[in-house]
Amino acid sequence: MSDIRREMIMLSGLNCPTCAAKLEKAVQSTPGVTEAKVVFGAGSLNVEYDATVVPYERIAEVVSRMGMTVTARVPGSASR
Amino acid sequence: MNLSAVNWLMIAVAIAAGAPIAKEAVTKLRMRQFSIALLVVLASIGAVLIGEAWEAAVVTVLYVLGGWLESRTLARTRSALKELVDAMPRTARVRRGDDIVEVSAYEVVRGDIVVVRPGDLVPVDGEVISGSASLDTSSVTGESMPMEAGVGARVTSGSVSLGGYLEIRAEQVGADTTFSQLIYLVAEAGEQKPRVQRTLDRFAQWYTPSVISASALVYLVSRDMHLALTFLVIACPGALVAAAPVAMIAGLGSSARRGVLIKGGERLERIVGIDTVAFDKTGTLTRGRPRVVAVEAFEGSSPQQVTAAAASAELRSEHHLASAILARAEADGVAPLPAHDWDLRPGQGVVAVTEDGRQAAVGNTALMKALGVAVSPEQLAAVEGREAEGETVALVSLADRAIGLIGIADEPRPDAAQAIAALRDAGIDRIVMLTGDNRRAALHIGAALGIHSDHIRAGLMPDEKVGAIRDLQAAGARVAMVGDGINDAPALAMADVSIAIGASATRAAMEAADIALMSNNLMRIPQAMSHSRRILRVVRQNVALAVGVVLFLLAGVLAGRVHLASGMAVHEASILAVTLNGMRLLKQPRRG
Repeated sequence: MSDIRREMIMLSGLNCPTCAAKLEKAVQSTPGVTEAKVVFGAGSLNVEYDATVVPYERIAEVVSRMGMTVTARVPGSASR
Repeated sequence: MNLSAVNWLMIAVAIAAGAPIAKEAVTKLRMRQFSIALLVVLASIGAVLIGEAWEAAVVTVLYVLGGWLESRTLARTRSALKELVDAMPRTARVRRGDDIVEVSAYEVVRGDIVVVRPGDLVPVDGEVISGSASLDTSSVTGESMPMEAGVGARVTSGSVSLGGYLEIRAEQVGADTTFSQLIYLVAEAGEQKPRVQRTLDRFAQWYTPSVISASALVYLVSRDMHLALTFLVIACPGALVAAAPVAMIAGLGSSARRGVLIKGGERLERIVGIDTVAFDKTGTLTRGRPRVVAVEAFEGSSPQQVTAAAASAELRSEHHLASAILARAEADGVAPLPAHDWDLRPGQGVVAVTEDGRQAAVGNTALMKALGVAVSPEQLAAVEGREAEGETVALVSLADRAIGLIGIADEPRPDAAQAIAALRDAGIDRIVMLTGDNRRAALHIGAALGIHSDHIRAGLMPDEKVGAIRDLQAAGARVAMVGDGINDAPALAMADVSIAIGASATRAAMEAADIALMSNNLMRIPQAMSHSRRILRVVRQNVALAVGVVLFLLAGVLAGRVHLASGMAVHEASILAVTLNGMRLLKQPRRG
């Protein structure tokens, strides 16, 4: 059983492009995350993950460990 | 070391400003990242040790100040997207049996009945099944005129009810709604890189490693740690990396807020290169809903009789002109005569027998001839006169006698002529009209809109429209095709740039098009083109500025003219400059 979800997580504190690349790597290497892309211009983290393996909170934790905060979550359709 | 009072003050400042930087550096070091913060901290400690405490103070303060300014301006450039996200529906009222319960907008499932009260955001895409309301659709379509929604109307998520009561059957929910798609597409478009930025990225791949080796080399050659550190900090590609994305998202976001979705990346360069715009006629330049514009009664009959006879013949017809005639009958309060035995004659018209046994017919002269109905030369002249005006004309007969004619036309959209004029002003030399309709009707609309008759291609099948686009391209034109995205999908795909209008209705069109207008407002097309031009201009300016500043600083460092503090200041200023420049795109030059 897996529960694939896709979300666009809007961030505040994503101020330097290098941090964006680092965040992207950190989220990508989190087990259960199948896809992660940080869009610097938009200030968002677009992520696809299996919620049975990694709860959203774990991803949020990675974000806050990098010194950023979540301002909004926009769920996307997993099929995209 | 001469630790004067001033020196101590500088050290205090450096420590106060540097503490959060040091914290950031340590956090990132734990994540195995060698951050700029770390470089700044090391450089500051080094500066204090070599007795240049003032430099440590300046660098740390600048770093903090720069970071603060950057986050403020970045937040501004991202504000257009953020406003869309903020306008996203969060909750929904759903009918569950007799109760109405409030749930998260993402818990609504297809088929749920959603209740919308005044002030509520419509949380789903769907069809109104009861009630009526006035809806503000501006956050999706960018249009300020409220939409009146009644039973049967299709509504999209993100609209706000200004008054009234609606019950909507949910068709697209949560992430599949038009509004969610819009947000995703804007964010994705911002991520697409134009060619100029992709060149920069290739450059950046070897840039960072070579800067690190170069600064190591600087140290080995000069044995000057200070110089090497300065080199490293200054060469950090902050402005280079931010240059394009901040401009893109500000520009694409602000246009999305007005209901125009422009896709980013290379498409932007293609949009700017357009010299020809081809329009589909029916439904794009015109309203797409034929309307009866004239009912003319021949001698011995009344217009009411003409309408009644025509309506009774058309009662069972599914021809698109039938609905126009029936709508006119209803509007005039004319009841169709009861009829039976309908006979549809393709290419001619339709014949029926009324209750009292008379034959009622609507159709062209060929039909009248086939039925043996006499049409006088004067009557024929009346038909031809109207056809020359671009109308489709149907003769009406009752009991073997021609009693009148009905003129039907599809009118241009009110803003079509203005939009075409604006495109010409914007330097689009050639405006082309492609249509499946007959040449006469096409020429009439073309003349009303200022399209040259040489640029009108009529009587085209959908695949011939593709051929027409290809012909233009073969002649060297770079063509944008404007259509509704459904019937014109092949021609849109063939064009260099595809522009879909009314795209909030069809998701496929919204995703496939290079420019998707969420409304039917044609003035958005010239606006979108000039806005694309501005975006690309700002992106290019930013890239040039960022590259220039880094080259200038590195040369300055090596020449010994730029030091850590001044270099840092210029560096931070350049990031700020590209962000501020990008912010200009949030403003629209004029409102339409």
